[in-house]
Amino acid sequence: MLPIYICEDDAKVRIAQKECLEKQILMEGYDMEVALFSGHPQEILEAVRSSPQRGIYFLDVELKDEPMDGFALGQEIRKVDPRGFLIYVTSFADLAFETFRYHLEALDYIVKGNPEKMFAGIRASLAVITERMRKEQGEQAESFTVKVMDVVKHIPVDEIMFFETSGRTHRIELHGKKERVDFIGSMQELEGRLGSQFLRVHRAYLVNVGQIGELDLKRREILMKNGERCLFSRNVKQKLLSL
Amino acid sequence: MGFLGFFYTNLVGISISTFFVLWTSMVLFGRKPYHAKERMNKIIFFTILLIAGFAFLGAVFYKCGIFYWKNNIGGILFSYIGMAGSACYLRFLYGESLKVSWVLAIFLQMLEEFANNFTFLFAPKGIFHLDILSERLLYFFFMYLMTPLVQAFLVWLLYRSGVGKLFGQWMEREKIGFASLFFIELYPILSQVLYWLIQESEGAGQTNGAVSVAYLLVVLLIFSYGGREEMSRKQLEAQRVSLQQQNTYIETLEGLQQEMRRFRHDYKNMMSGIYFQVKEGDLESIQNFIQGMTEDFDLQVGGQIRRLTQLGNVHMLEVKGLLLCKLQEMQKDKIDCELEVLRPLDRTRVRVTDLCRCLGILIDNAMDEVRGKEEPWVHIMVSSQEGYTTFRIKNKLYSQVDFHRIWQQGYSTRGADRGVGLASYRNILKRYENMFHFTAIQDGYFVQELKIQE
Repeated sequence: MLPIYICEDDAKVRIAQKECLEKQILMEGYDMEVALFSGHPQEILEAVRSSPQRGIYFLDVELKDEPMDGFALGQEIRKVDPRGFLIYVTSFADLAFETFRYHLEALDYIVKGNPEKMFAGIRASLAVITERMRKEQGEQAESFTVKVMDVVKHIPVDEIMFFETSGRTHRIELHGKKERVDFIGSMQELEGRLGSQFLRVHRAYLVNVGQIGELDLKRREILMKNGERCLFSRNVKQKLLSL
Repeated sequence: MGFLGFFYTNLVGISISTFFVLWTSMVLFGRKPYHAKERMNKIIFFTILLIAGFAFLGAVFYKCGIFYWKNNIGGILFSYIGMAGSACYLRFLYGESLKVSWVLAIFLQMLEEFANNFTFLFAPKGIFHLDILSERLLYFFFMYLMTPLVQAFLVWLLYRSGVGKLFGQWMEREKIGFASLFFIELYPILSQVLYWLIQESEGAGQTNGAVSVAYLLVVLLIFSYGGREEMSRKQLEAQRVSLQQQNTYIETLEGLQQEMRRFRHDYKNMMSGIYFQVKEGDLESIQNFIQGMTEDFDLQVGGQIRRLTQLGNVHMLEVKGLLLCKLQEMQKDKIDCELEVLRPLDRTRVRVTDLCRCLGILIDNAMDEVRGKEEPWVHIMVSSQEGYTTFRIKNKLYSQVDFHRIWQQGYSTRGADRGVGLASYRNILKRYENMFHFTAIQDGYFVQELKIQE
């Protein structure tokens, strides 16, 4: 059962949201329930902290006369529930939503000016959440998780070409099919963590064996499937040829 | 005194000067060595290595009689080696450019010599026989007690008089004049020459003090001239940016006025329309009408105001100027641009000129990709959170780019003379330990991120 929390300072809107949610849960037979609806972020936080589990949160962005706004509340919730679903409700259409999505992985935002539109937004959010949870169960692709300062990046292991040491100390650059990530780490640690799918072919390169396209023995280079090149050292030549 | 005796005496003296190098540089730079905590062991190791190395070298010079070479060439040589050593040391500590470290090292040497000369003005005589105990003690008293006291007073004076700030401004100028650099570099030689000249004319009894003072003053003048020049340049730049901003505000307001005029023009027609609907009691279409009107208003009038309010959160003038300029460019090119600055951006640890160059490159990349395409859209996010600053530029991607090739120098989807951007962006990043980049293609968007650890 997924608990739903509503934080909204306008009592009328809060009740309307709750009723809409309960009606929708009943109609669609979702495995969810409204756990708490309140105008005070502190109350919501206490409840979330006392029973930490994945939940759904409808949070007002502008909380008047409260010590924290919706963004700060979201940050606190994320510390307890990193996988929960955050949906922001705002009276202005000009919400800085990319920032919310970037830092809080917020799912969506709903504008509350027009009640009908707000209800439609709530219904759509519940549908998206159910869909996403269904997909998650089927999904098995392993991903590589790396913390870059205040955010965490997930990259599917199969899409990684290789890791390269960059010029700066303790810095590694991940070369992916669709991304480049610069982070702090060490090759030894990566080698241990990633296992046999990755091979240390050079002092500066740790390569995904599954992504090797061709070997250029003359120039001692590996041509990856995406066309990128990296070097290999003499003593791994035999190992590479036997792959 | 034997070799070891000299070595140990040197150890004490060089420890003291190293301590002052550290302290004075912190006063002048106005900050601690970077990553001081994490690199503590390294810093301690290098400090000890430096001290021991120079103590040894000094003892060798002394024993080999290099200090007695004609025209004090040995002494000058030792000064140069010492200055080179402390320049490397400073570069290691602060990561500043070699030029800045070098100039600072010379300046520190001057300070020390000045303190030294000044103290020995009060000594009963100029020459000490170190082999006689009482004279040696007297020498130590002046060398290791009085000189540091004078030097500490000098550093305090530097701190109080705000020379650190001037020095900072002078450094920001980056371009150090060749002539002034050469002049500063010649300090050990020139001071020796001057010393002789004075001695020649005034006879014995004069010390080097006057010379160091003169030199010190000239260098301070150079710093202050350069620093002030930089300050006034910055002020001019600030004025330019604020003027530009005011112009944009005025243009926006004028646009709004136009918009309002149109609304007023339409409003009578709209009202008469709704009047009939009210008469018929058609509640639903009235609701729709009001909804449509408010949304229209939001859509047409809101965008520009929204961007400018977001821009108000950027408190770094240079960044603000850059963003403003790019926003205007995009407006001219009919590119739909959104800007999000949720929390105020006050400062970053990266040098502003470098930051602006990086941002400029990233935004230009995004603009070049979408310009002239269907529904061009660029999104810029600036986020300052809990000790991290993130700049994130996102744009629609039209062509299928070979993702890894965009990093190669000279590669571009836009023709031959392009594609140097990302390469020089990388070169700037290389210089900073606290800057991270992230680039990705996500759901048909090209995302470029620049993160700074503050």
